[in-house]
Amino acid sequence: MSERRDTSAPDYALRHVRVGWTALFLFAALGLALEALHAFKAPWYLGVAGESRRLLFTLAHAHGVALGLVNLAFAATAHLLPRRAHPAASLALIVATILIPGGFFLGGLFAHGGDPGLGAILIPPGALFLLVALALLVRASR
Amino acid sequence: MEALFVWTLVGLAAGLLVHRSRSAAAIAAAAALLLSTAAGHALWAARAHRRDRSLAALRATVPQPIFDRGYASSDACGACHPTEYATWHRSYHRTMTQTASASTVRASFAGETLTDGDGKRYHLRTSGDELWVDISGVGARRIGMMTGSHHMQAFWLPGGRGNEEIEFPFTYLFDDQRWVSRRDVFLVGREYSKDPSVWNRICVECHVTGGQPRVEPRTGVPESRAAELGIACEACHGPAARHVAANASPFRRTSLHASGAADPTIVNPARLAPARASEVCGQCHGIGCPPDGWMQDGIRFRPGETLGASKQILELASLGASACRAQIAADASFAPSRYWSDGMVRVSGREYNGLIESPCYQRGTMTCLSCHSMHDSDPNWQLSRGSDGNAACTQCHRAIGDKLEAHTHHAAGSTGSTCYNCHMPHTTYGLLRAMRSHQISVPRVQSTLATGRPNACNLCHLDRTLAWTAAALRRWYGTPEPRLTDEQRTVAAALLDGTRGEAGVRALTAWSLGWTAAQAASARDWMAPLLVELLGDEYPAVRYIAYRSLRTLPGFADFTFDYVAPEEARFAAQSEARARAAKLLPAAASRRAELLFDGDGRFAGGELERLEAERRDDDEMFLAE
Repeated sequence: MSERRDTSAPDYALRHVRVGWTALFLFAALGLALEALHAFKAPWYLGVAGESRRLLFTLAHAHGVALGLVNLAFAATAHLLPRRAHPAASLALIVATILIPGGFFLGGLFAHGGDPGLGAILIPPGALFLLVALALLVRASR
Repeated sequence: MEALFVWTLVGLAAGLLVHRSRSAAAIAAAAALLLSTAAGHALWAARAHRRDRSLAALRATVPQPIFDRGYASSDACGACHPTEYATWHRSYHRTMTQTASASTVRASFAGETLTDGDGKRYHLRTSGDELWVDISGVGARRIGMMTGSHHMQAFWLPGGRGNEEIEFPFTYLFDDQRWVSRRDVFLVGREYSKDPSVWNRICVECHVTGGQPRVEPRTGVPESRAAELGIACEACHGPAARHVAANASPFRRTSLHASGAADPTIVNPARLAPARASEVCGQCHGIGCPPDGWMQDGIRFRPGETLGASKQILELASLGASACRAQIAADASFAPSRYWSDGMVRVSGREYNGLIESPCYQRGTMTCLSCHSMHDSDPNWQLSRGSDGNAACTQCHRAIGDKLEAHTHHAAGSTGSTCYNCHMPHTTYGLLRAMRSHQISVPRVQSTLATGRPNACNLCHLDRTLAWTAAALRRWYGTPEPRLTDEQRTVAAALLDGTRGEAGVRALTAWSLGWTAAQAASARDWMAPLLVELLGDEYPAVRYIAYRSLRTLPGFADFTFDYVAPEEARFAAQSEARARAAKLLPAAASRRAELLFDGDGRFAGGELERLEAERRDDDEMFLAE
């Protein structure tokens, strides 16, 4: 596999380092904001009617942070992967990093009672992009 | 705004796909993302439109929660008090009033067609989450609200004036899983007129939190509102907006937790003085005289205040001096439909009246919370943990608890040694059953003679005479024996009550005949003839209770009887029951003269009919439960 290693790996690594740290910063900040909402007992967030919002924001926080770490893992291992694996997997992973936590966040921001907002429709395609990225990486790493 | 954010994210993702990789696959993925988002958006918008339209239609006709006057809603409470919120949420107080929806209704809306006394037909159906009824000659009407979710569920239809809600003429009984006429769930005489109730004039007082009828004095059109539908946190703890705002500060919360001090921004009934604590429940569980102007502004009472300042509680002795005296004087049935003639309350839901007449309240510190709890109880009777037995009483009456048998003259652990059975007997009526009186009393045959109310002893010892009870009370407690008639000396009290008593007494007797404790104390094998006769009672409620009790007797478990069927069908079923009863031979111990068995051990059915035919108290009545 070493002779097929990608010479452009540092470019991809840098891109995912940027995306990963940015996602970590944004969604760790979201976590801090959620803690503040708890501390000050914001009814909009903690009220019973806000149960869906609370769940969706928590999921946005968790998925955002987790996907940030996945991006950093991608950056750290990009040099081990064959060149053909990079473009599609990288793109799919970045799109998933936008759509999944973004969908959860917007779904929670505009939640209507027990129903999430329109943003929730971004989550399934985001999940699909994530699966595609992971499948490509699994195939490339064999 | 929401769509703008969503499409911005989607645009960003699609742009990345196309910009970074101009391959056909990336363009196809971007196109698929845009298309799937557009499809999802269209579906979501259609669903949101349907939901908004349905909600708007409901809001136009149903009183809506409005958080003014310092109310904050149970939603706000749940954020910081999840356990208390959860225990309240499972209670039947919460679901006392709900907006009608297919997802929360307990009654069946599976296409039933109901017919009222005038031949008008009502076809029940759902449409999405909405409940609808198609009324012959009227058209389709959407059901606005539901009342109750414990034993039965009643429904309300828009009246067309303001947000007036009119009683739907049928009620669903959960135990029986059937619809019956609204009239047939009350103990009400045939000739007694009962117009459909208007929710905005009656129920708004207590079945919501912070209710305001807001009936326009000139036109009578209501624009009712409430802080919350159902009986929620703020009904007992008072308006909470100030409490919620103050406790947004984590420093204040920490300080309060550390000090253990009461929070002055909210009322905790458990920390109130006994009288004030009970008044929190009494605001609804008492027979009250609403003050002038309540039809506009509602009852001004707030937990922690003196109830009498906002709503006078009506006791029989003081009716004539009450602010409602003119209204009461105009309604001859007011007192008889609520009180026994000695002033004891006889209908359910008015337990506070019983409490304040009790010596344990008047001379002690007893409150509703001595036995009941909202947050640490089973939702059925809301008895606090440990209060379903003698511990409720012996927490104060320790000396009696220590020598229980000496006091009760019954074996310890038996139902005869259960404090409730003697001092809180089932002499209250409501919800098609007997309930415990909440006026702590002492069994007296004299009370039975004066009021017609069965005494505690004979509600368990149904097979014994009043003379037997009077003799036991004299022997054990020195209670003087009253003068009794020959019948009272020779015929079992239950037979007299079941045949000669007024409808309310017959209902209590029929229920007691099915009560496990009474069946154990009195044997069951003699009961069938009396219950069979009660199947023919002119009051549907009595027939209903008699049937339920009859089903508990051997030989009747599979017997079917429809208490609201046409008279012919009921008579036929009653004849079948009579034939079954005739085949059942009671044990020798039950073939006694006071149970109407002759010297040869044969049941004297004619004697039972004679007693019934000579009923002294056959006045039309209505119990205002």
